[in-house]
Amino acid sequence: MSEKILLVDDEKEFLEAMSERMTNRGMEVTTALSAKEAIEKVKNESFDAIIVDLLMPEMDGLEALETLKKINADLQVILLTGNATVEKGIEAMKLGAMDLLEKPADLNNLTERIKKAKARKMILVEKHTEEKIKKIISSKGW
Amino acid sequence: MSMETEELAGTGVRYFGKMMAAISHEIKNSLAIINENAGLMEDLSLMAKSGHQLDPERVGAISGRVIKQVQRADTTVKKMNRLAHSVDDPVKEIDVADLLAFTMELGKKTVASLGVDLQMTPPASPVRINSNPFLLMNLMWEVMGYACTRVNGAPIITIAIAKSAKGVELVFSPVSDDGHDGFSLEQAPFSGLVSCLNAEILALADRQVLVLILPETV
Repeated sequence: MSEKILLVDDEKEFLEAMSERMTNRGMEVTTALSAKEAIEKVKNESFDAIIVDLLMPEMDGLEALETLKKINADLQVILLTGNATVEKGIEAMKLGAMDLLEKPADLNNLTERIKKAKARKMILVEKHTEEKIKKIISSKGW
Repeated sequence: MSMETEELAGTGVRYFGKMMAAISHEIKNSLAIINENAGLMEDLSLMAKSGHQLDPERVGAISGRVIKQVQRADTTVKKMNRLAHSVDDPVKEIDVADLLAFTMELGKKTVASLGVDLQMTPPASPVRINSNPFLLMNLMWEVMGYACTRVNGAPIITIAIAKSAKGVELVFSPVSDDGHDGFSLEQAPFSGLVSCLNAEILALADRQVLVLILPETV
């Protein structure tokens, strides 16, 4: 099954080229030109990984990460940045980012992270399902 | 080094660093787009090798995008060069509107990240002064930043340039006090630059404007 990706960047041409390359690799890609647009899409759709540019007008990648994690703590967010600093990396990890990659990103490397993100998400879904089943069992006294 | 000089040097280095970070981010964005389009060309060539027909229009469109990004990066590097050379002359004849437009352009993404739209109303004819280009850019930037934190109503600040009896006025509006300590201009990060450039800054609370007055000659 293909990976479902949400790609968020204020650079339209970056989104076009990157999403086409990802699609060529069999991924299902949705794009958003702003953090606000991405947040709306996440409310209505499920994604295996969300790739977000760190520096965007209005709402930057870290703010977007914080909001996305509030909507769903299990979301796997990979941040992309033109200028990675250790401080930003630490901040991103503290806020729950799965990874922080530097632009221009190597697509093979990014693809690896996306696969990891999907695997992590599946483990979390399984864990939550198991917890729900356990709750039902204990509530029924079985 | 005196306290004032030390403070000015610190403010200048911070401004230079912030602008260089913005410029390098812009270059990285162009490189990222070039990288993705080169990757697309690679994808197409691999597909062609495995028997798919190569669409010349598709290839043309991709190379067009690469050319566009190279031009964009070239413009960005020119801006970086202009910023770098702004420290060459201690005093130089300056077209105020041109320098303000350049300062706004350099800090465009940073200002946008604050959710503010800065707009300039240029004078009817060019207004020139003799000043230090780098320090003046630094001062314009600091006042812009200050105004952005005190924007009133819709997040749009207009900067109008006009000649005045004292020299040239840059009028920032609408800007209001923060409701706690008024405008506190003495504590603002630009106070050292204001005195170094023999400038003056006034906050007219009733008109919701901030006026930066620059002398004709520093």
